[in-house]
Amino acid sequence: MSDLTMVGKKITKRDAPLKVAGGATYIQDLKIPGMLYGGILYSKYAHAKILKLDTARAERLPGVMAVITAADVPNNFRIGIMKDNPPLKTGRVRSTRDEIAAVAAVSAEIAAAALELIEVEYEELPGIFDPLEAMQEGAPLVHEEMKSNILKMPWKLVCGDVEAAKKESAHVVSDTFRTQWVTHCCLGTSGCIAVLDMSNNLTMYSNTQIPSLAQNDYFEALAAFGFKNRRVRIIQTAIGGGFGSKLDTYAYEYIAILLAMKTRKPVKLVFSREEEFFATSPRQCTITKISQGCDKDGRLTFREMEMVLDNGAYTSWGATTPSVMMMPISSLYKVPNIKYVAKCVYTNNTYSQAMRGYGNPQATFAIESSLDQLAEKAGIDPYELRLRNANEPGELTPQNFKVTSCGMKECMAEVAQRLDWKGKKGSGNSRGVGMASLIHVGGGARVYKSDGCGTIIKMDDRGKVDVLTGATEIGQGSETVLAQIVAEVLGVAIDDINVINNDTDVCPWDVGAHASRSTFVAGNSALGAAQKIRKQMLAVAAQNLGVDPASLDIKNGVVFSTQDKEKSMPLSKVLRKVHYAPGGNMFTAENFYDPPNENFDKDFKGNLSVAYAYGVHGVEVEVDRETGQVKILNYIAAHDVGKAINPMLLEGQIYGGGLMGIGYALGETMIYEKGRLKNGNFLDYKMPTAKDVPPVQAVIVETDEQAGPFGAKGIGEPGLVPTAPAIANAIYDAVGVRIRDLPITPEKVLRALQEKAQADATRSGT
Amino acid sequence: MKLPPFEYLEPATVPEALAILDTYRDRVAIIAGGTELINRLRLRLSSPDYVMNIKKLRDLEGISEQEQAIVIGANVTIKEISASSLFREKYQAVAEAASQVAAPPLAQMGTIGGNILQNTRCLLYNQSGIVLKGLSVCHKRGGATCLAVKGSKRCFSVYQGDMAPALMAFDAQCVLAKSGSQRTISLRELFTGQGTQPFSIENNELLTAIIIPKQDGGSAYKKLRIRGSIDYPLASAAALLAIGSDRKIAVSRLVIGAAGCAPKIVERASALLLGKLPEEADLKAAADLAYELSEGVDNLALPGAYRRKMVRVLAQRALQGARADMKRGDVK
Repeated sequence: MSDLTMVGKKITKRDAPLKVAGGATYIQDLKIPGMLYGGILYSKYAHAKILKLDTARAERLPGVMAVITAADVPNNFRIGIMKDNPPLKTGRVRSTRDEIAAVAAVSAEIAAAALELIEVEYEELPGIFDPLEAMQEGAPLVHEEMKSNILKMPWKLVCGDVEAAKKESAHVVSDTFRTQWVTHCCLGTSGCIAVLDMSNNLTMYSNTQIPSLAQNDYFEALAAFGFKNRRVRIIQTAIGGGFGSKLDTYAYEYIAILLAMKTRKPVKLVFSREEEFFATSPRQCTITKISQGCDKDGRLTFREMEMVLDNGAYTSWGATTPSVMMMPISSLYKVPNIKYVAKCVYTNNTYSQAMRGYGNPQATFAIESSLDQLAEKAGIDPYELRLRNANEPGELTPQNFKVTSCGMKECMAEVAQRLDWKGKKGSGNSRGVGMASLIHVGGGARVYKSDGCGTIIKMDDRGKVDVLTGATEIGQGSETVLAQIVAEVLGVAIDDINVINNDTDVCPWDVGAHASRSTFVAGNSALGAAQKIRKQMLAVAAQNLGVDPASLDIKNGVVFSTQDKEKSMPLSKVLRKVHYAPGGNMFTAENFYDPPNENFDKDFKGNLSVAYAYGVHGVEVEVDRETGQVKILNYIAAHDVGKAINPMLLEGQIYGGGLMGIGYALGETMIYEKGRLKNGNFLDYKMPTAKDVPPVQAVIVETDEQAGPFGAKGIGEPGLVPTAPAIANAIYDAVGVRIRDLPITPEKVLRALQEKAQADATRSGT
Repeated sequence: MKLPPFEYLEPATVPEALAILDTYRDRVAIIAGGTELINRLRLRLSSPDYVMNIKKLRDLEGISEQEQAIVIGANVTIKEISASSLFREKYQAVAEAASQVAAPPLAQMGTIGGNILQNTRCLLYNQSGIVLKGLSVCHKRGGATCLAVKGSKRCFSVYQGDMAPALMAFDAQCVLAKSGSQRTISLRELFTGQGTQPFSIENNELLTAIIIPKQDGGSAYKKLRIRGSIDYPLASAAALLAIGSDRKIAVSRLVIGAAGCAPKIVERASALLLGKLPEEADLKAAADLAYELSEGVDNLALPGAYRRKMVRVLAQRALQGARADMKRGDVK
């Protein structure tokens, strides 16, 4: 593959110029003739009875076209995987983001004014905001009909015999780690425009990252609303980031549909920044107990983890993140004996959702922090301990993952060398180094019944190519990567490829932009379709040139014989020859690719992904002993990506992931007081800024994954998975304090330093 | 969020602006760079009938070096100050404060006048209606309760400006004009020390200029924040040190910021350092006094107790920085 012309090249992201120039149409920009503006009234309290709801004054406001409440939702319709969430609440509210009423008006201003006129009388109830308290006997129930605050979704993975392994271990460490609520911070806030035609077929303009699944959700909703078997079309606008936040459908979307039903006009509902902060579903906080052990040589013997996750008031995909947490728990390093139990617990907080990494960062923070503790106890250098236990190609992990390509050791070596691990480890002077590794799905993930993606390619007779793909572009660059793959196979210029990826009426099915799967799954799908067309084109050209098709290649829009330079033909001529021949034809090909991965069995075992992505992050920090502030001096992020289809976009994913991870590690946290978000804005929510970008080296390790398109694996999520523990480990190396709960604020570091100084003084005193 | 409706006024001259103020008083809000007011309008923390833009008043522009003082027009941007070699050379604390204000795009827009007159802040006040509707009406919003310190009879909102502490270290003054007259008061007098009404400026007065008396010596400004940009100070300190012919401290001023409703001059620290050779132990003792004077409650991104401790650390570092700056001056 040395003569690749498109794949492996730093080709500019196709939508970049438009976005830089402000020309992309986001949901905020879109207007449909006759459109009304929707607004939602949220609860005043985190937990309360609604005694009275009076919408009369709002209805009388000129310009208001409809006001709806729970009474307007037919058939007790509920959303979410547990069907525990009515789009409009009545009787009782369970969180401050609970939707009580909604309006549609001729302007956004009138809609906002109408919301002010809705009168609600509440009786505030004591809420429960701590998942550990919520689990206790006699705790107030968030959903009384469920009889318990613990979700009936038992997550349990057992491999080998942990108890026996504990007894045989030479060294064992146990500790508890906590992570915080953080949110996606999409620059493009959530929104939609619902349009119903006269037969109640729905067109939804949306920035969802799961068009095909959303289509299905709306289909069911329409049926519940009395319109069975209607058509649903999703048209995606430009999407300003997803990161998992747009992985489910939400109350606001159904509210838009209900308002459109009531007014018979298109209704637009777009979140303000405040709403985006408090009314979207973030990454949940977790409390993790972990024990790990090793033998006298530092070989890991067991890993036992017990986790409590704050589910919040309702249930979305956040409750299923333990499924992905199982991946690092069972398969990050070689660990023969595994036990993992997780409980998701209802509280009166916001409700949790998937977010980049899907639970993996929370689990990896505990695993990799604990691993450094184990290394210290065993008296082995943490790098050496990791190296001894590193994953390798050909391994079958305890959870039955079949490891194909694996560049973990190469990543580790890159980090150790670039960080000068040997020179800097334990060097003192308040500076320290730390590292942490990751495993993630890199070849799709069969979390749904299908992990498939379809592609249709059609060519005109001048060599221009339309690629209709199910894959969603959410800013990650899938459009560019797919164009590169197709251009490579068809031998045409990148600008001859037009990717259509935003309309369920024309694009094939796809399970969604999640699980780091687009390059791998949509890439393989596009690759297959392109190869079909190439085969057809070469057959025609071979006939015309009088040569064997196997001797032909296509580059720069010309078909040529690799053996006889005289024999060549412009691609456009081949295409026209076919088009205008008697009984003519134009080339179209379709391909549906569903990777040969497995759903978990009842014991949560199975080969979830066709390939696994690995990576290692290393960081050097300096700790200010007087303020507790942590400065990142050097950051190395080495990733086994199989093959970099577009190294520039790939580095972008690593930088973006790393920075998101740094925010998670050092600053970001949603500050709730009794369920009410106190820092729902970019001033008080400490997402890193451009000035907080440390020196980062993105190191690409290529392992040529045989199942991947041109050898590629996924990279969307891995960038932030090992960041927090790498930083925590570096802080420990620098000043000897272990921070067990994120984010690592200067206040926590300073407190730990003072506690350590006291303990040291006591010890030397006795 | 959109802005509330208001009538926009754009006077062409200072007297015109003063006449508008005289007429509308509390009903008019002044905008220059807009980095302070726009956010307050969006959150509906302020709903004026009129917004008067003073950014085009040329008389409020420019930095001029006079015999006895430096005069900074109220419309001078933060960026102009941080880029000025005059401040970098002789008034380091002011340059250091300016270079740490918000983020580059905001520093391009924001003015010195607006920065000084920024309102006090609190996590339980600087919020949109969505959050505030579920909270009791606090002192700052005209109510009779404090949400940060339960049961308190006063407001604990925090003054988080960067420029004022640095300017106060130089005993800067400000010029307040109104129709037909003007007065010059020390910057310290501009602050009431009250969270609800942080400034003593009258509702028909316009801040037109800042005057820094010429001062030899060294100065520094230190700021605690979580991120490298955007953040207001969570604690800050500015220090000025100058020695007399006997090589002992002749002028000393230590000011702490984000440690209460107004920047505070640590008078006892000044007294402690006067007439001494600045030794490390003296700086530390002065910093301890800063700690005693500082106030920290849990109403910003980091806990109050921690922020108070940081006032001490930053005070010492500001004094160290001032001492180093003074020596730098010696070398020249």
